[in-house]
Amino acid sequence: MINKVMRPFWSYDVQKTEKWLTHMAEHGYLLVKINRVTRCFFFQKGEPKKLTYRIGFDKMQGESLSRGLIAEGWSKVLRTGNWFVTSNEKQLEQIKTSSVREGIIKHNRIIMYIFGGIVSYFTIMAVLFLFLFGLILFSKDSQGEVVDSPYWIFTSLYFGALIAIFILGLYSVIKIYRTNKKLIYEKVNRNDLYKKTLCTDKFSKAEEKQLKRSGQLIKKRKFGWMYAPDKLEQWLEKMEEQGYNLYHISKTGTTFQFLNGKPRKVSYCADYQNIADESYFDIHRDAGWKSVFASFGSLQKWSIWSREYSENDERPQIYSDKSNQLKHARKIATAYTCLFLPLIVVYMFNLGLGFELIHDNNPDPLRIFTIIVMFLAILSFGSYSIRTWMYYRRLKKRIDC
Amino acid sequence: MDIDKALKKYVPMTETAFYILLSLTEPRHGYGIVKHVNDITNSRIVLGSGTVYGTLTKMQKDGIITVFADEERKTVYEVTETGKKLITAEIKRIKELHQNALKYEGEFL
Repeated sequence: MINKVMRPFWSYDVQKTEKWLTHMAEHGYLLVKINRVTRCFFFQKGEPKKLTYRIGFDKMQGESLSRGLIAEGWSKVLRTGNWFVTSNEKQLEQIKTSSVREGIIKHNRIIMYIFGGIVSYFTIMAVLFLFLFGLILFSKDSQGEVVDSPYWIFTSLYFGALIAIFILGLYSVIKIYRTNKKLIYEKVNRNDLYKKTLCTDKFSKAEEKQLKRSGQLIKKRKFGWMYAPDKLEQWLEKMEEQGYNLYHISKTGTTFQFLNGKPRKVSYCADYQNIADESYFDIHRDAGWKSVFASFGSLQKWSIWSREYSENDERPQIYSDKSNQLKHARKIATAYTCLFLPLIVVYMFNLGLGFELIHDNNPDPLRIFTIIVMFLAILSFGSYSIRTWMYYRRLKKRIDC
Repeated sequence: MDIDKALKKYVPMTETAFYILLSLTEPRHGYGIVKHVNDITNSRIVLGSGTVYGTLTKMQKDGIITVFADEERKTVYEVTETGKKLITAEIKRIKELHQNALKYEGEFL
């Protein structure tokens, strides 16, 4: 006998879904199929079993599981699209290896960004609408009156659908945000050692103030280092050599604080990864690098790594392969060009239009002001793109000789 | 990615890619690969962690390696069947290279 259960948001909280599957198996309902379109789970009634389930997401999964998982007793229950479900007869506490969570985190994060975009778009539109509506309603000479019409039903249906999408979007964003935090925490939980080592050398607020007053702690601002990361690395290394030890980088990555200390030889590496996962941080930490900065919450991700080395040693680098490093630089330049080029083109077009209008009419101050702003925007966006390509060229020259 | 495509894309391999794949005789952590390559080359090759991460990510996307999480929830890398075929083909090519190197070495001394 086959039982069908609908679970529309199963993929938003996989931990909960896994527990639910275990619970179903205890009652003799064994998972056989998932339909992702109708969001339905199909169960076969059989003997009650103690099973541990684990859901995974992987674009490149082979037909069989990896040997490391099979050896631990895992077997694949089903596969649907990029999703797969594995089960194990052992208890969760006794299992050592399991499929990774990164795929789910990344996939759900993309969904979260899409819904986040929709929600913020709707919010802006709603605020604008209410504002205009209020303006008309409260203006003295408003003549508006509601006309009876059978077509009002479409208007209300339309708004009902909008509200439904808005609520769905908001729910998705909140739910995924919470689950992803839990999934990442699942891992961090076990090696919170790293976090402690990061926090030990941080002063309290009062101490910081004291240090600032005595001139021991200096603040420097640096904008736009993303367009020339090699310059930032050199600057930080020079500061260390002069005895200014990097103490803290603000969350936005624009304020750098230094402590007046001993001259040190420290290698700094700024790295750009489109969407970095936890294993990225693991490998660098294991190799002896300290994470001094990581930008969170956006699709693009910059991180800065530091590592002290002795006078006689060669400067350690996170990229040992030169062609690899060059590819990385090209990735940065391409990414920023793709970001700025459309804006530049649009502004240029507007600017051309603006000039034509000035030619025809008398120039009014507001128009001139807009033109100047657009001109400055083109100039700065253009300079950012050019700076990234100059960075690429510098690196290429250094590697070639 | 099927084996023909993988062969076309990866053979001949860079020294870095070859040693990374060669060290997956058993499942290893990212940094475990760095250490192992350091050992078997007597510290001639010291791989940077960024390079290893980049190569592993690319290989995972192409289905040459696969990953799972160990007890500490750390990512472990394992070679797939496609990956095994790929490294075998590459080893065969390098063997030929090696044999020819030995055969003609004397002529240049």
